[in-house]
Amino acid sequence: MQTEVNPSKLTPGHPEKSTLEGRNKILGVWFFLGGECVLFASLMGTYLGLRGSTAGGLSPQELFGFELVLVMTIILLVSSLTSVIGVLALQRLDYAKMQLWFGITVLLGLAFLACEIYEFVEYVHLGLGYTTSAFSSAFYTMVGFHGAHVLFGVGWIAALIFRATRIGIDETNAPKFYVASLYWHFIDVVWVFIFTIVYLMGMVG
Amino acid sequence: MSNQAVQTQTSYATSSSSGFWSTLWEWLTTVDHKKIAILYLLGGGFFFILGGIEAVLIRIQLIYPEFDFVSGSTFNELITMHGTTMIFLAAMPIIIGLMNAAVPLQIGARDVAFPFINALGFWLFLFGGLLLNLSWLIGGAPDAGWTAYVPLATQAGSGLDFYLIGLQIAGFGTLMGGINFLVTIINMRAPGMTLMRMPFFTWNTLITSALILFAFPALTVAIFLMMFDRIFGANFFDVSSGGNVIIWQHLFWIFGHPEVYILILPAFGILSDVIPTFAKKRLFGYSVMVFATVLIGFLGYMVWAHHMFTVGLGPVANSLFAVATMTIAVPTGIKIFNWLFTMWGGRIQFTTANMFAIAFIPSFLIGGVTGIMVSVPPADYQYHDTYFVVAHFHYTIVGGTVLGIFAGLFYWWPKMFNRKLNETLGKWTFWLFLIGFHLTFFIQHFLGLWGMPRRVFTYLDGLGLNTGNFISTIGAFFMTAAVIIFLVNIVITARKDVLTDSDPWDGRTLEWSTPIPTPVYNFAQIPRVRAKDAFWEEKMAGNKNLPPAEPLGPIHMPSPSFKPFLMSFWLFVSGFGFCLHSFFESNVIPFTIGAIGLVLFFATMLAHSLQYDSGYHIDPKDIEGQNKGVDA
Amino acid sequence: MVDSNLEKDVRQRTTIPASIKEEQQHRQTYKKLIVSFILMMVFTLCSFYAVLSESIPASFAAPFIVALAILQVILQLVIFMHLDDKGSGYQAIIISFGLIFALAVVACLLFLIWW
Ligand code: HEM
Ligand SMILES: [Cu+2]
Repeated sequence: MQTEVNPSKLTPGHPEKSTLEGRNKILGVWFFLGGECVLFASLMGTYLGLRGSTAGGLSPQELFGFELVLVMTIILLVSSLTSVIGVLALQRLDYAKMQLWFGITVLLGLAFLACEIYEFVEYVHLGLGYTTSAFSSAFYTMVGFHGAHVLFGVGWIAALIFRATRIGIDETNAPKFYVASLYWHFIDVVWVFIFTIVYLMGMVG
Repeated sequence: MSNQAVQTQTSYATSSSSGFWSTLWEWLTTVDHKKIAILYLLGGGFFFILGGIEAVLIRIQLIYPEFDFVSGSTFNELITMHGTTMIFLAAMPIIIGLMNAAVPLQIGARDVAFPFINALGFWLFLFGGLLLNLSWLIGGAPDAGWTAYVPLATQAGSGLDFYLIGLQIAGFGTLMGGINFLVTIINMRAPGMTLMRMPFFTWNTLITSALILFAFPALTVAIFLMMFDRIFGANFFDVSSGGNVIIWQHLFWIFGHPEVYILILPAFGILSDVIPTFAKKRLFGYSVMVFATVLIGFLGYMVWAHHMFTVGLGPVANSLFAVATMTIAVPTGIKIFNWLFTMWGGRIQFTTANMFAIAFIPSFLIGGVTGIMVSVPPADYQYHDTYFVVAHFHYTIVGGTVLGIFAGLFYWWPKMFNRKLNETLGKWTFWLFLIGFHLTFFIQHFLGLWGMPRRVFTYLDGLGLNTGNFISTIGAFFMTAAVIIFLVNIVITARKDVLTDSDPWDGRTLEWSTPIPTPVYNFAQIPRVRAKDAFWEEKMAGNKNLPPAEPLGPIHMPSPSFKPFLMSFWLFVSGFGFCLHSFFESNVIPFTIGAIGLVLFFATMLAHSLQYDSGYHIDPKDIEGQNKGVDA
Repeated sequence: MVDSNLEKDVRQRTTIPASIKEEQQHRQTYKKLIVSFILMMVFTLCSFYAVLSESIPASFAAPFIVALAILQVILQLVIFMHLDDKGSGYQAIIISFGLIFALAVVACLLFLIWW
């Protein structure tokens, strides 16, 4: 009674939208990202509210340097580009290129995380612990939530790459790659606000 | 006819063996929206009874002045758990249950967009609720009110950790449910089912889900912040380290006010389906109703600070939020009038479902009027934190949401359980509940005006509050009786024979066009929708059912899965671990349990995403000759 | 669940050559991506420059870099996240509401917690 699923023939163009499941996934992730806007807004608002509450500890001006932030920004921006090129390869059903570009995206994500961990360790050495002040709690939480999203994205895309080695591109994983890249771009969107509002504005004071 | 359909059901839904364990397994792994609906009803019903018991204990404590039925601290636990349970674990899940039962059928879909996530949403809610209630047994329940204002809540005992983490887990479930319904309604409507032909309950589900989507993340963050304060020593709400307690209030109410609309909009939707069905008239002013619903949804997000008038936001902010709040009364009023005009000149049938729906209108209206009263900041300085506010929100939530839920339960019971609830007992429930409700809460307006503050565990003799409180408690006993009769009704109904008529109310919308019981795949052929109230219009045109939109073919079904249960269980374990932090000297044990739970959660998630399982197909040959649900 | 034949079948299909028209389209898309990437990079560098340069007053730099951030985000959303694809109406509505509500939340937490 149970019949095997017969994938319909994929054609280049929009393989990610070739099934209803695929279209559902895409819309679902967009909705999820809509909710994430409010999540990050709540965190950002909290940070902005507490950015002056240093309780005698280090302040944003004393803390932030631009070099590392610039490097992290560029890493993430480039990774956003590589993931969208990966999607382009996906839409041409070019399996090898897709794996390559998404693989690079994962590596860039890891590089970003490494920078972030380095940064946090640095700050802790300078004397800004998580519990130092309301500002420090808010800063680590805001940036850490973003970092956790990066980590999740890295794991997600890596899992998809691994999954695809068994089955190539088909109509089940085309939408998966597509939505993972949407998520990845959104992480960059959030970072744009973080580097502008948290770091750069923090440096101006 | 019904026999055949039953066979279809069992041969697809179960793997033909039917012992206790296989039935249990079937329910633990189901991804069928119709079964998940029943699970939500069971889970929500369980917590409704729990919350109801808490309510009765509260009212008994308040029946006499200076009574000592429960201690002050137990009273605090009771009010906190009552509010939290009723809102998060009873009202919302029951509503989501009704959505699961009705919406996919109303839009002519075979299932929801994300069956797996649908199941995950349910199990997360259940485990979150269980974790929250576990606090009764371990270290005491949370006692800082359902709003958990800081710094009271950051300094309170271990119960608050259960509150935070339990709600966090349940909240994730709700969020997933919301996204699931949004995508289902937008992407999975049958051909011809344009947005402006959707049954009204579906419309309200759509807007409610959008509110869930945008409101819950604020609660997620609020809860994380307080968790970090309590568990990791962060300083968000610690004023001595520069923290700010108002942030909690903002984040909580950014979620909290949309939440009250999440509770009432589905009830509006139920009314908008029930009233036309039993007035035998189409809904008056459909497009205006749609507009009003969307507007309520949008405005509902922008008024949260009316809960903070007395905090001292300043005259400008208070005025802006007051005006925005009062504006909501306009679309709400439109709805009230449209229901009245729908009934006007109709042949009204006083079924229990319809009686609940009709009683909703004046009851909720009172709640709306007091809402306008409390939305005037200078006046609210008097009302705030008195029983007047308690009366206001119980008129909206009980007189609105709960009456709506009862209407929905009586209306869709035949769809969900293939049996009609007993009407005589139903009317007993109705009258006892309605009288009890007004007895309990009407007088509370006056108790508030006479100066009785909310959340106090007793009051002194001779303040003129004795009679009012006594009446209020008697009313609670009436409602208890009504609920007990309802439970008896359920038991009696379960023993009745299955209905033979799949359309017992002479319904208007698509869910009544499927055979009884509804097969797993809902529609053998997806129907073609040609009008609003599509099923009714076809019946009026002399057709037995809707025309099919597709030839008979293999039907794709999602595979059942145990992973939603498992993932929720691991989150429960993790949450429980973190809750233990105040019971141990060092954090090693709690954090280890917490981490292990999280790792297993993500591992299960990974296993799910690596699995290659795209479901199975039901062969058309097996459907041929059976009741197809659609007139071919 | 998928048998090995099917697996091979799927892999083979991944090498179907694209037609010439598709090739042109692909090039155009590619160009669009690269151009927007360069623009985003420029916006980013301008932001950093505005903040680091001594000659630009902070009172100008702050709104300026926020404006650049908004531009960059719009590029991400429209180009990289394909909001310019046909049939992305719902997506645009969803994210707009998300951003409106986000703005309300940030504004309140920014202005309405200290006095
Ligand atoms: C006409 C529409 C409404 C208006 C203008 C309105 C206005 C208000 C205002 C101003 C308050 C704050 C009172 C205070 O704390 O001093 C309030 C409290 C409340 N309202 Fe409403 N409301 C309306 C409808 C509803 C609905 C439909 C529900 C739920 C279904 C609801 C549930 C609540 C709850 C639960 C509270 C109290 C929260 C708490 O402090 O624990 N309201 N309402
Ligand atoms: Cu409100």
